[in-house]
Amino acid sequence: MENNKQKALRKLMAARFALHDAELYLDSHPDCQEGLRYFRAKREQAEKLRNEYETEFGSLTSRCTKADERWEWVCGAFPWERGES
Amino acid sequence: MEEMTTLFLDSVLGEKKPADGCPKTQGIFPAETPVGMAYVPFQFWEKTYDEPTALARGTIFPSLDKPFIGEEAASLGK
Repeated sequence: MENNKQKALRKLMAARFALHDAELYLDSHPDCQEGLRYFRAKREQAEKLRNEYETEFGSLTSRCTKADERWEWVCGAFPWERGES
Repeated sequence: MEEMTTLFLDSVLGEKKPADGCPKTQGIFPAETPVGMAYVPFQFWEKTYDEPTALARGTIFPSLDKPFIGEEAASLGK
């Protein structure tokens, strides 16, 4: 059964997939108002989901890890790891 | 998007008259459309799949959801 981390990741992946598909569509339909509306909404949602994921489960990439006191990236479970390591 | 569609509809009538027995394709393509070429209909925005479905189907656009099923392609959708 998917734990919360995997559920959050799946939701983020689905939101980002929809965003990407909208981007491809807009490449050939740059004036499509409905497509633009959809894209703006999904971009905001994906950003929100990413922030929620990262505050709870840590950063998705090493680039955006916390690096104040220590290199958090290697101190918790990686995004692809199921449980806490 | 409007100009594309009006262009398409305005020139539908054209002068070229198909000879007897020829299929009446004139109503489908603008008169100046050269023969011997392949044409892809322009995609328009449509109601999208919800996100989990889109991720599973590989597209947010139902009309692009065309899984290869080994025989006559049929629209499976959900």
